[in-house]
Amino acid sequence: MILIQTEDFSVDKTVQTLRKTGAGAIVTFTGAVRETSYEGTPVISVEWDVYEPMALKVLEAIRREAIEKFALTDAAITHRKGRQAPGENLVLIAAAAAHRRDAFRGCEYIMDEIKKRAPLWKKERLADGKERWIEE
Amino acid sequence: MKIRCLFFASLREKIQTGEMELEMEKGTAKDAADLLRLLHPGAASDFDRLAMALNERYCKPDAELTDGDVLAFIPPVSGGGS
Repeated sequence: MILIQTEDFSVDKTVQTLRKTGAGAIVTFTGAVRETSYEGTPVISVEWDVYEPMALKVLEAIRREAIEKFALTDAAITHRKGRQAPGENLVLIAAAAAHRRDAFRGCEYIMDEIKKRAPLWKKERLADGKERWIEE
Repeated sequence: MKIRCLFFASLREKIQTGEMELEMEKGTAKDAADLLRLLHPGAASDFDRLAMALNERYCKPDAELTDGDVLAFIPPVSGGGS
């Protein structure tokens, strides 16, 4: 399951979609907005620019790669768009496998590849009045 | 031929549009980027650090363009959380 959505997500509901016979381990990663920038300035909010049709394709490709590489029984990715405040959820990765090691590795692979390839851009609005795109 | 160009994040703000139509003779993705450098000299250096995607797939600079293609300019991405 791949979703890019404005509204928040439910970790429990997503995990339920991955429950199948054979999934002995389900690992989830939830990314949230930090309250300070890398330099320590308080963050007011983050806002997203998304190339949605391509992002959906890239996320699905990453999901399929992870399933194949780590023998996952299933995997799900939900990424928020719009604007979020510190503490709010940004991204949810869930990876299911027969055993925990594959589920952990699959989950980490998906998150790492999203950071490298998915066409999504985050803009931080800071308490000192500055705004900046995070383009790493 | 006409191609549709898409811009995102800092580049979108710098050139003040998310998309534009570009009319050009036969050429590559790099040719289109070179033309955009001339049209937007203030963003010329930005184009050096961009990836490109042709019809929603990452492409190399030498990818040949055809009429009706969508060429997206992709700044370094920043999806996910920490």
